Amino acid sequence: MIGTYDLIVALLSVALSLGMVGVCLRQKVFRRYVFVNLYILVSAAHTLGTLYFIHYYGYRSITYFYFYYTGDAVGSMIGYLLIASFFDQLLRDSAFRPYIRPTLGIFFIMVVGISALFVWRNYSTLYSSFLIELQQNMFFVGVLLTFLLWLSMNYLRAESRRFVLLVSGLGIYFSAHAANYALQFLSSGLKNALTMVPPLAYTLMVALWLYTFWRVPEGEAAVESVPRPEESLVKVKISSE
Amino acid sequence: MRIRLFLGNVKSSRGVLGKMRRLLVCLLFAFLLVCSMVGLKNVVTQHSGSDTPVVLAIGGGPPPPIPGSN
Repeated sequence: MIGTYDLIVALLSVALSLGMVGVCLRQKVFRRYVFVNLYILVSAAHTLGTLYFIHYYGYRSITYFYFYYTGDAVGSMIGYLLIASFFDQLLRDSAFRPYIRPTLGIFFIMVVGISALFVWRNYSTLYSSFLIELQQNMFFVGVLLTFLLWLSMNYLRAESRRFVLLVSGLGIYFSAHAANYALQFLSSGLKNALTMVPPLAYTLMVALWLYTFWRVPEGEAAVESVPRPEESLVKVKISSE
Repeated sequence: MRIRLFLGNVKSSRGVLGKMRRLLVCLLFAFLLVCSMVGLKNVVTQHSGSDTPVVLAIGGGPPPPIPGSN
């Protein structure tokens, strides 16, 4: 059985996810942010599925193990599409536009190929080894692409505040995972406490996305334009004349 | 300017040669990303001292224990 904390976080994440999708439907932006909503819906279904499998098969059962990692692989792929759609949106006016989709497509095939290459000798546990390897690789892909997305966003100065907050949600999610992963190596005594972090990081991401869709208008600018010092100096001169 | 020269003119990238050049550039970018990913993974996992995989939870449910791990 899972503890009260896990159950509360799981149910909270499902409630926030359904709330976010509801807000998107109400604002009629579901199709515009289809990958965000798809990712959230798949994750919510996966969370409910985990509760069902834990209840009927047990937390340490092999059935739950396969369900969790298979669902996670599907979710990771949709998450990859989500990051790709963010790249597509951010670089739509740049010279890189025709290269984004083919590059990310080839990259994904390469990652799946590398994951298969690393585990192909383990015949007895091929499927489970592949799932775990793919999950690890998709994690590092997510960290890398979110970091590149953040750099591009700062360099190209994203105009929409909603877009910035959506990317920030991904940043919270992946950075919490990375910090959690590092802390597990630094202090093995905290391992049990640190396993609580990933579901919490996911719930925080969904909460931020819910806030974004609920409270931030579609066309709101990411940052207020600040006049440069020389511009304000010119204005003072004009007004003094 | 350098990026423009490297990627070429998008309008003139039609035809077989243009498509091949585009495919080559995409392959190069993808290869760079794969190398970065593998490098990042190696840097992080070389100090781990164990084969414990990173637990990436996409949902709010608790991840199951890995069979054979403590």
